[in-house]
Amino acid sequence: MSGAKPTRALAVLALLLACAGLWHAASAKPATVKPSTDARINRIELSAEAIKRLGVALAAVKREPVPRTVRLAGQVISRPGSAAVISAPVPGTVVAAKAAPPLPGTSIRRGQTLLRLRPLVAPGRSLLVEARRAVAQASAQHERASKAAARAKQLLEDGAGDQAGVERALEQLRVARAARDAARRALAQLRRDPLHSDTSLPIRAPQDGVVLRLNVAAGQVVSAGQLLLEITNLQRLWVRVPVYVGLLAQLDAGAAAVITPLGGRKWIEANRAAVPPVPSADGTTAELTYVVGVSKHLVPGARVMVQLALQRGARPVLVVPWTAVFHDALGSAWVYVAVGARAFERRRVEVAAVVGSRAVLERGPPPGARVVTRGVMQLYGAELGVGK
Amino acid sequence: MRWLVGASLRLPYLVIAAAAVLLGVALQMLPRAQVDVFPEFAPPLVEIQTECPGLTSQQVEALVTVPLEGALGGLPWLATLRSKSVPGLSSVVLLFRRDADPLRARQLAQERLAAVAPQLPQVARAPQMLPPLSSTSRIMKIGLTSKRLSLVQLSTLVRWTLRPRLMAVPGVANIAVWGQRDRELQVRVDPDELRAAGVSLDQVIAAATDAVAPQPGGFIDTPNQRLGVAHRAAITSAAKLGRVRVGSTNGAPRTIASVAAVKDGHPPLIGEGVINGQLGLLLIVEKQPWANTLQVTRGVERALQALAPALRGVTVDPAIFRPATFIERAISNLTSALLVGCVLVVVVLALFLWQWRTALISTIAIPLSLVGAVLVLTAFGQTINTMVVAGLAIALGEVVDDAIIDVENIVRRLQLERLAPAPRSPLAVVFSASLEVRSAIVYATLIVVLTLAPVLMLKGLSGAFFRPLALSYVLAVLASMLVAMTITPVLALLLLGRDRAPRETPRESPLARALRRRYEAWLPRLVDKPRAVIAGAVLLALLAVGTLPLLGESFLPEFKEHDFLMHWVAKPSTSLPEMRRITLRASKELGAVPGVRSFGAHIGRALAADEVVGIDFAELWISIAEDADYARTLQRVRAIVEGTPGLHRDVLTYLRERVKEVLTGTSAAIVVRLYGDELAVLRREAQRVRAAIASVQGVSDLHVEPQVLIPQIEIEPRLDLLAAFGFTPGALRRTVTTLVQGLKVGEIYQAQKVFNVVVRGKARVRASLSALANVRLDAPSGGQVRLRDIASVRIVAAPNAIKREGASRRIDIACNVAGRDLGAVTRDIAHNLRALRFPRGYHAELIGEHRARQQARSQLLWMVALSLLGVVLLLQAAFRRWRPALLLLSVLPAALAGGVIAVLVGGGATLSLGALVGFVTVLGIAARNGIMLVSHYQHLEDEEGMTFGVPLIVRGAVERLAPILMTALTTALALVPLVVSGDKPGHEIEHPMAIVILGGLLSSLAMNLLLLPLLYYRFGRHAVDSSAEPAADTSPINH
Repeated sequence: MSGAKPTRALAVLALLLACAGLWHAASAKPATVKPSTDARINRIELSAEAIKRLGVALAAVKREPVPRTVRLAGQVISRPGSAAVISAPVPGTVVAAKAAPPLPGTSIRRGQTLLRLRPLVAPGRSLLVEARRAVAQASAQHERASKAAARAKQLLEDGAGDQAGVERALEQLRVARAARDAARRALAQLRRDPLHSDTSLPIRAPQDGVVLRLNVAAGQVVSAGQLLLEITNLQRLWVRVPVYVGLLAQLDAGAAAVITPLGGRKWIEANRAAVPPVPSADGTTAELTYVVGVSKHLVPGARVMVQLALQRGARPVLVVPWTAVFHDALGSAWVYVAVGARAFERRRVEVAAVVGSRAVLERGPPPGARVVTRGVMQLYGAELGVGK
Repeated sequence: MRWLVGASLRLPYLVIAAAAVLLGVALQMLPRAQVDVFPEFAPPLVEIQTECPGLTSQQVEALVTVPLEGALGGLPWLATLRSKSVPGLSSVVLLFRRDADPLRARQLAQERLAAVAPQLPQVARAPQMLPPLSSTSRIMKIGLTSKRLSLVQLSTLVRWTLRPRLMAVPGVANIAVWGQRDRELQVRVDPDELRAAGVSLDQVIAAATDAVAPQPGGFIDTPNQRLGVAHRAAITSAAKLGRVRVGSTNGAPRTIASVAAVKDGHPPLIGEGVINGQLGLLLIVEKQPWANTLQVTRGVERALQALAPALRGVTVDPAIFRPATFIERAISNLTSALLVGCVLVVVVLALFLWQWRTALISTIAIPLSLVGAVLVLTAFGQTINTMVVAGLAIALGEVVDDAIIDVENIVRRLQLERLAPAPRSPLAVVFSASLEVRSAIVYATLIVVLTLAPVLMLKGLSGAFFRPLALSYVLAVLASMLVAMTITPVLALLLLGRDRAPRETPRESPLARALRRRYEAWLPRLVDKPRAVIAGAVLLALLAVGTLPLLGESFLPEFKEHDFLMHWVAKPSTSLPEMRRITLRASKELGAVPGVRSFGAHIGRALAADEVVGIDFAELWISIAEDADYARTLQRVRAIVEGTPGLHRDVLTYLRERVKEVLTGTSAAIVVRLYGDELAVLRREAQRVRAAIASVQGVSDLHVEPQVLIPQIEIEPRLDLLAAFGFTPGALRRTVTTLVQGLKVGEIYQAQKVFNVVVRGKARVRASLSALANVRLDAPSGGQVRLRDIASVRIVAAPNAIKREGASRRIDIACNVAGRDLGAVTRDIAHNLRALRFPRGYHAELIGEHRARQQARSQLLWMVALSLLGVVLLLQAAFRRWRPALLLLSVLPAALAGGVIAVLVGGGATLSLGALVGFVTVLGIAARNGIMLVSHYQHLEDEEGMTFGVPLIVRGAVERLAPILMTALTTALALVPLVVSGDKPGHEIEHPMAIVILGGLLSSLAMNLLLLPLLYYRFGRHAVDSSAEPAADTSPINH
């Protein structure tokens, strides 16, 4: 009998020891989350403190146009008619102007000497005869002019002539003398150095622009009519974009395109050129043409990305920040809409597209509704449980 | 035993020399002991992780986890095979039996792994067996942030400078780096732009691969020399890689940079680190099981200091988590408490015995016992941890008791002998006096050991924790018994026996004299009114037993670690930016709490780390300043954490977390586990099982384990369309993977550092589901085609993480039992299950976890009953009679009553582990004093021929008064510092124990001094009266 009490005490002791193997997972319910008392589901109410702690931020659902675009590859070409082809007027040797001939891509101004051409002339008898003939002719003319001048003076002294006649005669005499001297100099030059008898021919730029192609190098002999260089007007370049015919109808014809050079970051806006789409041979694509201004990055031949606006981008659509949207495990998209000061309701949305930081919704809360843009996943976790 | 005491006394100097050697050895060994926070509580385990970048959890499971499980199943000693597949990582954990040798188990696992590794698909990296870790593997967290360096630069510094140096610190098993961003050269492509440039993705890949492929140069021989030829790597930076030709337009070379962006970057992150409110790198140092936490911590800190010049511009916070601080503080708190306690003991001894020599003997005996216990523990390879130290501290009461009882008795006998007409030699007196108390010491010690025996038999986790405590306690008590029978008599002989100065009266301290006189006057009066005393005692005992159910239980104490961790798990599928945002917010708010010193968080996982989770999982770690108000700081932290909805979160100490992780398994009473392959089928069949069980009477809380599903983008190619466009399924997969995940094409080398080169899609390709679906791919047959036109791209539900056990997918259907016998309900459920038909490959098992636990519990109860029987037998052996044995046994509950009341009043009304051991200590002290008193009565009656009556009762009690009071007082005083200093770190176990012992000492004093004499007077006499004849017959045998 007397042993009963210690038995009990020790049994209790032992039981407690045995319980050491059991752990009671403390399941403390956070006081901050109220289960929805509302009959509606998908609703979560947080304390003001919890909202502050989570950094919940809201943004309004808007109905606004969202530019919708398609990115296609294009190529820069020079505008037809803006290119000028310069060919050799006479056979000759290309001589560098001041510096080397301008490389392709160099900007040039109208009237700038691009290169010089020294005409190739065969030195021959005829040239010498011609020079002598010119000297003889000039000498003869000079002689006649001096005689005419002397006669005019005589007439004036005799009182038969007038002052004006004398002056005219003297003038002709001066011209004739100059012509005779020039002819004599040319003959002397020809005798001294028959090959370099003349200075080279300057080839000047007919218009402002950029050298598109240079076909000759200094020292090269060219024939008459040979292509020397091609220059183009860079005030305006064209960008050609092949577009699938099916896409044409969806494009916003009036909108500007955004041109981005490959590997670059700079973008340039371009308008449609007043050129109709050029269909390809098989008719599956058509080339659209855009006009771009001068730029260091855009040279004819360069490949570029062209972002074309679509027509539906012009219509106002339902828009929420992309940060407001999340997907459940079955793929449905949802947003949390603020209802009341501290309550949020989860609403189904259908995302049509994501454009930049905005999600375009097919279906969603009406414009003006305020959606949660920060802390969405925490609200989701608070509503449905995290389920570790 | 008699021989032992005799031999010691005959060879006193040898004994003292042996003791000195013991102390010397201890001084040598103790600094090198393995100090750790907690004992190794996890069974030996081997974890194999396989990185599979970019794979979903289902793919990871099918391609990697299942083949690994197949190869590793059935290893010797394997107890459980668990696996977890998360996006990008497979983890297979082999849990071995507790008695398995971890290194042999690893070796066998490694052999199997080596065989299966080459058969894994290419997408998986080589399986990695994690280094052996201790159960509390993390020993340090180091946060790195910088204002001057980018996170990529910081990662380069960590990967190539810091981590290799820290890994070299002895004892460091692994350093996992969260938020590591390995620098890589990225060729970011956009399919549209590639097309515009007329370059294919394959051309880019080929060009980049070719540019960085290393080649040997060979050598040339000159007549005299051999000259090596080396290719100097041409590609050293993104800019140079950009200049590599990838094709040509009209004959003009096109460079990579003209068709793609070539940048310095880092791979997609699998994890992230947040340090003190900003993004940074979190280094987690993990320890080998056999390493000393303090030494490793200090080694790492020294290495950090040495590296400081190399870390200019980097802010290093090495104290985000540092359990070494806890150990240091626990040990220093405990030692100071023990020191103060020892001083008080000496003071008490001096006051009672009025002799400094006796005090000296006790002060030598006490540390010797403790040191002896520690030596035995370390010799058996036990680590010195909180539990062991707690065991020693708790044993202090017994050890002090042993030392005093012996010394007091020897002193008293020596004094009496000097008054005797023919004094015996001191040796003889010390010998007989030691033998006189021997039975009390030995039997009481054995009783304590027996009481703790069930604890030693505990299995599993609680066993792993409490066994070291019980073991160190038992060892200390046994050592103290040994000391009491060897050193103490020897010292008494040497120090006290020589004092031959004859005295008129025995020297008695004034205090002892005063107490003795008062007690002598009181006791006879009490003996006259037994009913009141007995009624009071019974009432007290009933009260105590009645209160027991009111007490809460908290077995493992809340260790006052200053480092906390918070799980911070968002809804699965939460993105990294969102996790970063919410974690940074938490960091700022928690960092602002006064008392929080540092904050470090890790999101997701790191390479070869201990977290097998997705990116939605984070752990926040804070460290509280030592001088901060612990409770208030913790409370504010909890308030913040609990006030953050939408996340699964908790506040734990690391130990609690580890324990929870080791303890997996459901807590439900009955679990039906359904095994099978297809998750959808499993879910469907689980509902059928649920329906089958629901009808069973007595089933409650029936639920199917919820499985977390997350949205996942699935790309399913349409084969006919693929063929039309000239794609092969593989080519399509490769292209999409390259664009989304990236493709490694080679490496570049810079001053011993290796950086990857990858080709990857630009961000806009991966911006959304529609962006991915609209990606235009180059069709091999010409033209371009959108991904959505040749494959269905849709969101499907996928499991977040796939856990497997025993190499099979499973789902649990669990229930509890209410209002009916568990066995009957289990039988009914089993019957219903048998009637169910499952699809091929599926089967259900009734898990007997609950039954196993019940068996373990009843086994424990049997153990307790056996040990109780042992106690009774021991008492009978001590007295050689049944009646006094039962008498003593019946008063023990009354002795414990004080402890229960003390717990109620001062211990927070919670029964903790320490409190339980406190009860055992009180039991030991009460039993010892009871044995001494009863055997003294027997001695007076049998040896000195006193007749049974009040004078005998009074004289016996009065003569035992001094030692009883002394042991009580010294034990109490030794524990006073523990009670007074409060619930400090290091006192988590000892504080409640001290409270129980203090309370229990009061009640056991009352029991021994008031109740026992009285009961002995009433029932002891009855024994003689009722069985006068047999007693007379047996008495000669007793002598």
